[in-house]
Amino acid sequence: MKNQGLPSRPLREEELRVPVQKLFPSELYFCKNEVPFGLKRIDLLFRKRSNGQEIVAVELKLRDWKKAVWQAASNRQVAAYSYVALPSASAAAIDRRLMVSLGLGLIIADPADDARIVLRAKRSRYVNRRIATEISSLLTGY
Amino acid sequence: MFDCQLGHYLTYHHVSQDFFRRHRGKYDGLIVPLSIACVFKQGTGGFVLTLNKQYALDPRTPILQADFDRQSIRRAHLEIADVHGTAVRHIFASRPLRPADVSPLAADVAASVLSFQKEFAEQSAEKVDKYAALLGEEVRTAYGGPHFLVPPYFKSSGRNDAWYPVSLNLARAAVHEKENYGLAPVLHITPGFPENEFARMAEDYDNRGFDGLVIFINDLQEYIAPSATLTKYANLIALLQGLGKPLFGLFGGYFTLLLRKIGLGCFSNAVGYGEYRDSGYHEGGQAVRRYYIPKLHRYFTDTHAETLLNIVGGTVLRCACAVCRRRRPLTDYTSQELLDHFLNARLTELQHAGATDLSELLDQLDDTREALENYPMLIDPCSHLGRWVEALRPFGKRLART
Repeated sequence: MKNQGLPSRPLREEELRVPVQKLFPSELYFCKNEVPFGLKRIDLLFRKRSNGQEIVAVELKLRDWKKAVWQAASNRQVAAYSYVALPSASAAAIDRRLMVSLGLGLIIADPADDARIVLRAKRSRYVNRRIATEISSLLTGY
Repeated sequence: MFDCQLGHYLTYHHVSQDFFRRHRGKYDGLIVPLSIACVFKQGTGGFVLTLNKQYALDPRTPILQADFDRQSIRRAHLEIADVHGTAVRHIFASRPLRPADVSPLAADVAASVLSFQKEFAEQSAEKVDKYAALLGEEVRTAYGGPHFLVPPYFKSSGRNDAWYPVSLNLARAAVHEKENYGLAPVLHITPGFPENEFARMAEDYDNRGFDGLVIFINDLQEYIAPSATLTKYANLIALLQGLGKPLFGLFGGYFTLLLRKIGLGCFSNAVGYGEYRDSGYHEGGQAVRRYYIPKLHRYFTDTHAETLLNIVGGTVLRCACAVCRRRRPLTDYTSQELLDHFLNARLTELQHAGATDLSELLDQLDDTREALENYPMLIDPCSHLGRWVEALRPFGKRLART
């Protein structure tokens, strides 16, 4: 019997990508997947078409919110706004006070539904202009 | 023999000569890998000799026992094999050495490797003029040999490992070749070497011809190793200390530095990377940009370290050395600044540890760990602190009682 009440739990991070991308539509944002930064990759990076300075990073995770918070905190070095995107089933466990104290945003994303921002990211105080400019140039033309 | 002022050697690397020169007062001496001594013989010799620091050559013999694709043998490794003798070179070119290859040749191999070390100074004289001029010093008529000689050695996983007696025989053979030099064999073991064999190993190396002992635990990554492995390492040092011979830790970070409190005389590491080493690693590679966080006593990539500092905020993890005093993102540091900062931090650690007892040093590690407990995503980057304390606390208590 189909479970009507609960959203289906995604099996791969990839499934969160499309719902999150809808939050930053292509008319308004350039977008790039898997952007190299240090030894890691940023899952999703958006740059506002009207304002080249405004970069948004999104870290997708299915379960391990601590790792997601770590990566999102790291992304503040290149993105003005940094988000963690989790399925609703995992988001309940996240320490929201910590997210607020770090200025990180939270997106709840389920494959079958539209994603929604439940906590807005604050502007990062840690952007490294040099690296941000380098990374920003990767987003041109998308 | 290793009872040095700071207790710290650096592993020499030829691309950082300016670094070694500028920081001459911040380390006791240099360990020169045989690979570099061979391939850049004149340059290395000229530089090392005119630097006027103690030095020793690490034969890096275990690369000869490593199993890897013979199509990709590096020139440096062939040169290492050459120094170990023609027969060794011949075998190494086609396959890894086996214990039975080396056993009958022990005397010759030891003599050949020690000859290279003893003759290193006189054979490196050509470039001495150049480096003396760079240092603004007069050329001496003669430069001294190594501070101590290191016999060839192999990695072994226990006393029953067929390589174990080979290394021991090489060390014993080297006694006949050491002349007036100090001789320090390397006890190169895997982290899994059985602890119940340590006492017998200590007896094996309780030889009057050995003036000191070098301990090299293969690929021991202190910040990852479980506390049981670290305890074992500490127990080995405490046991060997009973032999009354000076002890030297080849490769190590802050945990090894703390072992100086229980009997280790000196230790070495490379600059910017190289606080551990897999002796069978045969490939080269580019160094990753890394920043040493002094409070956590370990390296992180620069982006990782920057994240840590930003998350914790304030001055908790900030370094106040001459390089770091001017606040800017760590990712903006030049590679040279990252190295300079590390050596400043290491010097501060050495001085602080020298003036503080072990229990207090461990309390400080605990304090750092507790201060970061509010950040659940920092558990991984900081978990080593708890393991180090767990491994060394019994020694701290023992020392406090005495």
